[in-house]
Formats: sequence, C-alpha cells, structure tokens
Amino acid sequence: MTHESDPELAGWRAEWQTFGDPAALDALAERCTRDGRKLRRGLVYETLGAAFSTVVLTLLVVRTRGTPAVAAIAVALSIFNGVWLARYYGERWGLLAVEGASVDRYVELTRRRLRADDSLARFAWNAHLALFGVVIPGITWLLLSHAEQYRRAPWRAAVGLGVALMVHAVLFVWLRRKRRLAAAARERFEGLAARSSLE
Amino acid sequence: MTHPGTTLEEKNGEPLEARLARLLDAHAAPLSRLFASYARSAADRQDLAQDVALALFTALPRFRGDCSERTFVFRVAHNRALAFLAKRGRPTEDVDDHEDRVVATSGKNPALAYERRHREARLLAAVRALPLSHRQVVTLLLEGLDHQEIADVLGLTVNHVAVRAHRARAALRVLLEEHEGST
Repeated sequence: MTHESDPELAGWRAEWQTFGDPAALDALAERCTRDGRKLRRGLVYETLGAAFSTVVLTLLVVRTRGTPAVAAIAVALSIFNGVWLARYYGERWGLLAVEGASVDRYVELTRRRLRADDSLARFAWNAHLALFGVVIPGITWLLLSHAEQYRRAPWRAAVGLGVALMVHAVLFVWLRRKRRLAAAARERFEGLAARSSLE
Repeated sequence: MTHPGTTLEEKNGEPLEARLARLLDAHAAPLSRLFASYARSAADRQDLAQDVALALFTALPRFRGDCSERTFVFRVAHNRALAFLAKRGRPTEDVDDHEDRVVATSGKNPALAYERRHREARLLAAVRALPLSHRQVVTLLLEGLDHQEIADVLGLTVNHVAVRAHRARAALRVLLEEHEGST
C-alpha cells in the first residue's frame, strides 16, 4: 500500500513533522535578525526625535522671551523627553550585541525585546495621558490669560493651540496603535517560537 | 555499490567536522523529533543529542555509502537512543509538565497557545507511550521512511517491519482515541 493511499498515516505524518519545523526555525531566525535592525533604527529615531523636540522647545522659549506658560510647558515636555529616553535606553540595555549568536540566543533576546517594546508602549501611553493632563490646563490658562490678544487675532489661537491639540490627537491614535501592535507582535512571536521548537 | 541518495561519500575531501555539521544540519528536524520521542526533559534531549553527535562523528569515517545518508543517520541515532534509554531508565519529565510550561510562557493569549500545543503534543504523547519496539518503527514511519528503509535502520527483515508497523499503528490509534476520549 502506498502512503498516498493511506490518509491516516499521511495525517499523522503531517502532524508529526510540524515538530521542530525547520521552515519555522528559519522564519524565526530571520525575524530575530530583522528585529535587531529595527531596534537599532528605533534607537536612532527616538534620539533624533527627542533632540528635535528639545531644539523646537528651546527656540519657542527664546522667541517668547521666557514667558512663564511657554517655559512651563517646555520644561514639562523636556522632562518627559528625558524620562522617555532614559527609559528607552534602560529597557534596551544589553539587547544590541547579538551578531553571530545562535538562534537560541536570538530567541531569548527577541523575547526580551518584545517584552521591552510592550512595556515601553504601555509606558508611552500612560505618559501621554499624564502629559495631556498638564498640556490641557496649560493651554486653557494661556487662552484665558491672553484672551484680549486672541480676540484681536483669533488666527493665533486657531493656529497655535490647534496645532498643539492636533499633535496630541495624532500621538493619541499612534500610541494606541503602537500598544496594540506590540502586544500582537509578542503573541505572534511566541506562536512562531512554539512551532519551531519542541521546548 | 554506492547508494544514489548518498552525499557524504561524494564529499570525502572535506574535514570530518564539516561533514558532521552538514549532516546534523540537514537532519536537524527529524533528529529533534526522534530525541523528543525518547527523552522527555530538555536536559535529557540535549544529552541524547550530544551522544548521537559523538556517535556520528565516530561512525562517519567508516561510512562507505552502502545505504542512504538518512538511513545511516537514523541507524546511528536509534542505536544511541536505545543505549540512552538503557542507561537512563525512567523518563524525567511528564508531557503534562511540558504543556503547563508552554501555557506559562505563551504571551498574551495562553488559551490559544495551549490549544495549539495541546493538539501537537497529543501525537508526541501517544508515540512516547508506545512500547519501545513499536515506537522505533512508528517514529521512522512518521518521518516518511518506507518498510525497506526501516528494515535497514533497525536491522530487521521487511516482513518483520511490516508486522511491527501494523501492530504499532493499531496501538497508536488506540492511544490517540483514548487521548481524544479523555479531553
């Protein structure tokens, strides 16, 4: 009897040969390498982003000659940038030196990276909410204290405050998506790791 | 006569270590399944893998291509697995422990991961529960070897393999049905 005409054996074989699937292992190794590159890019982007926003905030403070409201918002945002970067580097510490390591090492590191991503995404979300809690009263105070000026030139309020609110709205949507993606990536990775190994 | 499936003989010029690495790499997945069917704990599987690698290293210089590379690898691995079982005696970890550990480390959706691993583990658990003589034949059958190749690996006649395979499959069927009934 040929194996093709033996569906029971064919079914068992298909099930059996999913254990230690080399294709899944290759996909896993490729995924880990890709994640390593993504990690390095992420570090550069985050650092540049923080530097850029610090420069913009400094310019704003200089242009407004240190107006208390602007200075307070700038300080709050700068503190946030500092805390964020410190946390980002802290979470990533020791996860970069993986070149030439074994797949097992990659798997371990990728698992830690994804856990860090998940944790950072949650931290960013919570920090954004906290920042929102500072920015909204700040903007309200600014509107009230410069009411006369904004009545004379309403476009200032529309442009200046509108942009600030829009930035926060975009951040809100982006961070929420990032949080979901980080959780989904972790789950997918664990599935792949489970398929590629008998562990 | 050199077997047409032989590649080791053709590359006799390369160092032994390189031949061994190539051989282990080419058969990594079937070997990992074989180790899993004989050794339950990760530590035991690692020990068995080292035993087999050493045995292959020793046997490689004597391999003259009188059978396929796959048959050669399985023959050595099965012999080492038998010696390993004789040396170790009882298994060190139960399949249920293995499943529990997977649940504990499966990320955001342990229920889904558990279900997937549970389905996959059912066949492995059934194979592990077979008597040794049946397990040997079944693991090779599941790897896609025909009766002649299994006979070559185990040093049996084809008729003997056919009889064992028939009985082993019946036993495996019963174990899988029992497993289905208990879940």
